[in-house]
Amino acid sequence: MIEVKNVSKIFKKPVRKQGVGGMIKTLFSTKSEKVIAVNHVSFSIAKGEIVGYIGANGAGKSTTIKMMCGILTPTEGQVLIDGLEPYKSRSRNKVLKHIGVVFGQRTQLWWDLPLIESFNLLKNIYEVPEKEFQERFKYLRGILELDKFMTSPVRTLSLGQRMRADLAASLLHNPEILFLDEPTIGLDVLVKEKMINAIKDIHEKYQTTIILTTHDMNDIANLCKRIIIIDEGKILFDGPLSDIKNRFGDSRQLFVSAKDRMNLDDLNAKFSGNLQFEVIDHYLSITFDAGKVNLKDVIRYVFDHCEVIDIKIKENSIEKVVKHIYETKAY
Amino acid sequence: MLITFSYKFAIFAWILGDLVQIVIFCFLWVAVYAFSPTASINGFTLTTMLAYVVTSRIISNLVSSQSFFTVGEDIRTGSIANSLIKPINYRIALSFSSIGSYLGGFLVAFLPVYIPAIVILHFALGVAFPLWYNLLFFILSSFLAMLIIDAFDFMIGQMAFFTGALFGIMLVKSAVYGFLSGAMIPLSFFPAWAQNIFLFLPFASMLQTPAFIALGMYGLPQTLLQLGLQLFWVVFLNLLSLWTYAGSVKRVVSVGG
Amino acid sequence: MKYLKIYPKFLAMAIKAKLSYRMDALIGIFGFLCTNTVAFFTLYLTISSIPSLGDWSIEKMVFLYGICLIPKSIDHIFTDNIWAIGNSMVIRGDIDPYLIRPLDPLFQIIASNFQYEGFGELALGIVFVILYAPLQPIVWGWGNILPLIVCEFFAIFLFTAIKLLTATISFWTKRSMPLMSGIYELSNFTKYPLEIFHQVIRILMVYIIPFSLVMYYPIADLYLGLNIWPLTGIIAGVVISLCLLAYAFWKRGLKKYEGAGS
Repeated sequence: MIEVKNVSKIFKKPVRKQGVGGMIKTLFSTKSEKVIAVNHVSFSIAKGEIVGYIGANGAGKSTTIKMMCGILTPTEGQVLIDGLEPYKSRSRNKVLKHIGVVFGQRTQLWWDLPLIESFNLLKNIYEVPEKEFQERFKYLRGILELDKFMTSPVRTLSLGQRMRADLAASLLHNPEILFLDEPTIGLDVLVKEKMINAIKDIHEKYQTTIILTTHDMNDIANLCKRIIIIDEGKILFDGPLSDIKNRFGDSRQLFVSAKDRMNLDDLNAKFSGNLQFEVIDHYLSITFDAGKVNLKDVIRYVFDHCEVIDIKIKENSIEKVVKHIYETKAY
Repeated sequence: MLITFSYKFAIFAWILGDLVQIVIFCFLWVAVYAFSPTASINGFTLTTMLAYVVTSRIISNLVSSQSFFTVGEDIRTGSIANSLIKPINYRIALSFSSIGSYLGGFLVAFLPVYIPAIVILHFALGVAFPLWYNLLFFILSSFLAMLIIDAFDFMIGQMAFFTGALFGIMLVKSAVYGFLSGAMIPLSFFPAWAQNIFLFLPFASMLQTPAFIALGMYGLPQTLLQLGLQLFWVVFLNLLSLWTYAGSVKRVVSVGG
Repeated sequence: MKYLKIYPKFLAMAIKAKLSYRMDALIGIFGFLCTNTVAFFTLYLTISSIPSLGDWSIEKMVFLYGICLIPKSIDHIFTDNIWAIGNSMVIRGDIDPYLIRPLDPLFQIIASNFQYEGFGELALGIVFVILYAPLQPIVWGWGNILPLIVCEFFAIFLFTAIKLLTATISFWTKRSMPLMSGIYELSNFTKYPLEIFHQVIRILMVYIIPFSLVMYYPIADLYLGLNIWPLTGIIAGVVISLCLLAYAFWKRGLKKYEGAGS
């Protein structure tokens, strides 16, 4: 059980001035400004949940995750993992035995040695009993298809291989909680799928609590029942994925390609200004809330007022909704 | 608050490192001269020796070149492949870059340290101020010295290319330069046979020559002779570096970089 | 204890890892050998220009040189990663992966590296000591060899403690490499007879950054024919205290540590 209670993280950055004169001034000044990376954030995560934690770069995602792993100490507030604070030196090692972390942009494996060596050393570090280790190891190497490069030095692995290896490494000691910080970044479609499926499988089998940060909305859609959106250090949304759709209504997007143009002002006026227009790839895109505007009416109007060559209908994507939330900062 | 300290800190600490070396050598020489039966050892009195220690250390920062590191980094990151196929000759580009650093370094790092240093040396030890024409010769000499080091560094940098060992080679290079160029001890302290060999090597031209000129230890004819010698090495080594560079390019292209 | 069991495993990994860079290791050894040889010859040429430096003959100076090289090189071999702490680890947030594991991060950082290049220095130091020990005005016996070895042993940890103290400053200043090397350079003073230096430096090298206390004084006392066991005791106390201080400071720094990025 993870509890984040009113947590804030404030960094101090030195104020740097421009130009050569500024450089000299900075050399002798002691001013610094406060950057509030995380601003009074609270939430709880129950055992076995898979939570997506999303936000723009610099929004405070990684900072929060690091506080949950114990790498950073909150400036205010508390993080409790099963009642213990992971950044306090007393409880740290106890907590660390039960969590696993994958940093997408960094590896925790030994760069110059064969993969199998890293796994063996990790077994020793986490003091995993031999039998349990063998069992987990067999399972993980199977589901992540590690056999082909098990004896290759980590530095020779491709990104996809290394990510799978890192995921396995983080799970060797059967942690109850798994933190995944951008685990699919830079991966091609096939490998991404493998990773996501593996994560699903692991969750089913071991009931691991998983917190996932990512920019990829497909990952979120595939894995998470609940998402937390953070922006500029504050939580904008925390709830089930289905809620988002309901809350933001059922947005539709019509893509029209026609021989001639319509008068968009007239079109918009007909539907009380509830339409949004964009040109995407030579198609006119018309976006609207299907709760407010009747889809059939729009289609009929379009067909009536221009010679349609092609028409496509897209349903609301989580991506769009999240984008909307970012833009309006409200839900 | 202390975080903002870090930038100023780095600069001060750098000067500290050099200062330690100078202090060690100064004390050592004071002790040596105290136990010396003669006031002058191998052509140096204590005063001139101390002046030499300080001056040569300051100059060594001025004439150093970044070419070795640049080549090494480019090799490590792989961007050397790009540089080799560009229309601008990589070697020449690096030379210009070194010249730029030299000019910048002269104004920003050298003068602010050298000027106070000679003032202190004058008032504390009675070392004469350099004569104006010696200063001009010195500037020329240090420029030539830099070009010599630059060419050398470049060629050695290429060795890093073929062995992949950047750090180790840098150590050997620094040790050899430092020792044979007079940075650690004036060349007149070496046994006679070694000094004869040095006449045929470019190392003295890298540091001792500009240092001696700045300290006014050469008369006018000697100064001109040494400058001529430096010029010879500049031309010779730069041609050599261009030649080895062409060789490297061929090698890289044939291997497929 | 758990750490004793796992250290060999870490070390094995570190040793194996470097083996794959054979050329690098060899040139590294050679490189350090060169640096030290050059420094030695500089000293040699300097001293040779006069009959002798007071009481200090060239034989004594070479011996002292070797005594200083041995602990320095052993520390170099085992704890070289501490440089990385002061140089880049703090800025780049490279300490993070160590913090995730239920094992002391400092232990992991140090145990993960094995620097072959230190063997060059070590060999040189051993050669100097063995060749010149018989030439010293000392009557060698277990009464003085044993405490000398103990002093050398503690000297290793002095280097480690000083490195760690200066590296930890980078938690506050982002990068403390220049300071680290500056203070590390101070250890060079120890290779020379303390008397030649100004009082201020002597105080510095004996009481503040006690390289001379640990490496020079045992030799100097042996020349005077003194029993150095009491001194050894003092040295042990000083070094152990410094190590504890360094570790405590490190822990404070770690608390302050801010990973890179947000």
